[in-house]
Amino acid sequence: MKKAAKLISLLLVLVMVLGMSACGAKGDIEISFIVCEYSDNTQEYMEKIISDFEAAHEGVKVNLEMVSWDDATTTIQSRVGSGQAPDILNLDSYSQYLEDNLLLPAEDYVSDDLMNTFYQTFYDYNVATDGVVYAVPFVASVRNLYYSKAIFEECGIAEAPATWDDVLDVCQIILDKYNGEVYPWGMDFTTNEGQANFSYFIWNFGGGWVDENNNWTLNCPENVEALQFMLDMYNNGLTNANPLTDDRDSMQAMMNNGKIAMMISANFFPALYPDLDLGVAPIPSNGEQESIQLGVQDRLMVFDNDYSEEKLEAIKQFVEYMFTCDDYADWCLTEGLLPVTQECFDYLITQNEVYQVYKDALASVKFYPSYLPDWGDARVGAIEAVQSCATGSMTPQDALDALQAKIAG
Amino acid sequence: MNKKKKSLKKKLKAFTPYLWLLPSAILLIVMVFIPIIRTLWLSLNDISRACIAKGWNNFANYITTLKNPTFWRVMLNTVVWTVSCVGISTLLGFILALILNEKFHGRKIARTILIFPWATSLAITAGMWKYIYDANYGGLNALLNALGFQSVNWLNNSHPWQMFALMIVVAIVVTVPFVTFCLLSGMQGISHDYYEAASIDGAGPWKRMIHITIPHLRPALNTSTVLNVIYVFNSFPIVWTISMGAPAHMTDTITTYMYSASFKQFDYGTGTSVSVIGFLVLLAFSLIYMGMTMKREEM
Repeated sequence: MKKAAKLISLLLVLVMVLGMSACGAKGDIEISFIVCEYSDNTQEYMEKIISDFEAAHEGVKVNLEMVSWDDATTTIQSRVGSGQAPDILNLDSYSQYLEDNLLLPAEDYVSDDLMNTFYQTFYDYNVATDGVVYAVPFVASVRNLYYSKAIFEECGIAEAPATWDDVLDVCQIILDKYNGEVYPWGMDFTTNEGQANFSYFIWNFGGGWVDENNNWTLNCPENVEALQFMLDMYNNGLTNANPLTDDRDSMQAMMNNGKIAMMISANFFPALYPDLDLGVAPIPSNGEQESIQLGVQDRLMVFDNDYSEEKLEAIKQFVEYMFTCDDYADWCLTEGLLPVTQECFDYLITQNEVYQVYKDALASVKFYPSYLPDWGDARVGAIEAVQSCATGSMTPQDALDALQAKIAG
Repeated sequence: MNKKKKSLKKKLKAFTPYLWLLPSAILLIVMVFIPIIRTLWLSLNDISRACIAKGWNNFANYITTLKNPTFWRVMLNTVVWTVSCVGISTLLGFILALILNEKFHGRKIARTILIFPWATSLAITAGMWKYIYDANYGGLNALLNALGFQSVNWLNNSHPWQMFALMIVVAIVVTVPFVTFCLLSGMQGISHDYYEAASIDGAGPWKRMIHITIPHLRPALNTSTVLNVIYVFNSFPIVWTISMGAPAHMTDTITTYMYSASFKQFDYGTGTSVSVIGFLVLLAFSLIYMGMTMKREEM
């Protein structure tokens, strides 16, 4: 009996001690923050930013959760659907949360000073149809034409093609020289990023996803022409053999192995293969307009989880800190990503002159209309339309007419 | 007092097995039954792109799904996928089980090697096969080139049927070990006396297989077939890793289509209704098949 009493007392003490140690953290404001993994470096940088922020802000704790880009949508949608949305989320798209009013307007957690430092180009594409900004740019990338200098030299090609006609000529030279051993052009029709490839061509044929009033223009004549051009390149053997399954990552690897001569990719491509001698040029156009580059931005957004004043202030301070600390600039430099604030961009130009090229490219950059609620449907529909045409089961006109009818009604 | 103690002890003893079953029961309820019920409930609601239920919608999700030609294409793919994988893997599994049931040098090693495709993660196996099939770097083309043949574009995007057939090959390779070991364990339960008696009566190997082996293997065959159909029907990693259902859902099966609709298109109405339809199809198959086999056994 005595032994049992001693044991019970010991257990009670243990429980109290554990309870008190948990109680010790109860006074902290806890912010949940989900970040997508850009590379192996991402977690290290985020942890440093958070640790420095917490050191300077006693009583605030930021709980970081990393998710892989492959699982990001699955994980986050499951959390949101079950009422467990994080406080701060880093993701590419956000319009799927607007329908249910799940996001806080950016003005609630971003100071005017910070708002004014964002690049206007990035910022403008975050204005939703009701005129409110619900997500702020976090990092960005810009797509350009990359070509193998070694292959170009062997073929006697002096410069990168500037127009689509030039592309056909250059491709033919490469095809004739290597007899199919080297694919002249890397084309991406995949379910992963087929919409990016679609954008490169439709914009540079004079078409686009939407008009200036945000009405869908998916089946405009320019888009049909662009899609036909892409298909002709594929059917005439000017591209990689399997564009429906060769995604950007595998094509970059093929280019590194000398199997592809040209492809459109993101500004972090050279950093992935530092030994590959790559030339960079604007995406070719139809010669009647300036070249348009695709910009892709990932965002930070804050869910409306009914915060106390103190917690919302803490979130605001953390967001401010994120964009103004040195680690943000260093992280962008390491990952090869573009920062979204002017000050940071100017700083990175001093660290790596290639950022001047990217800054110049921003003048001609367009982004996906991801602020539109139907963007997800349009994106997937465009990929399916291209894939259907690639198998010959639909013509470009029919495929894009069907897509336009489905999205715009 | 002693009588009361004894009665309490008896009651506790009777209750003990249920206590041991409780963790598994809780796991089943939480991980299986609740998600099934929630999916069923979601499928009867309008669901926003953020996966939030908005209210009863009079089976609109099912009507939209059943009216969509893509769904029927995917359903046909799934039937072809399941019938081919299960049929061919059962035949090959039976042959391998017959071989492994005989004593020969290295039988243990052969049995161990057979487990590898089944034991390895499906995602890794699928990724490995994607590289084997690769037109530029694949092992299959390297072998063909070494034998003096031209490379083949195995995963030719212009021929979805070809891609689909090659994915079926991968599914068969990973399914054969499971069938083999199911049937092998069944074969090892057949008494040798039957074979001896049949030999004495002059029955050859073929007759012994038809009249002894196969009838006695029915329980094992039934189990492996039902389980195989369920696993193969619900298979996700092979199709998703190799083709992601491209082009335009032409190589999708029910599971990849459901995943794509839910998590790529944020169309949870389609995703949940397809999931429920798939569940009902499998349930119907299992009930009918088990009913038929039980009737045959009674006869």
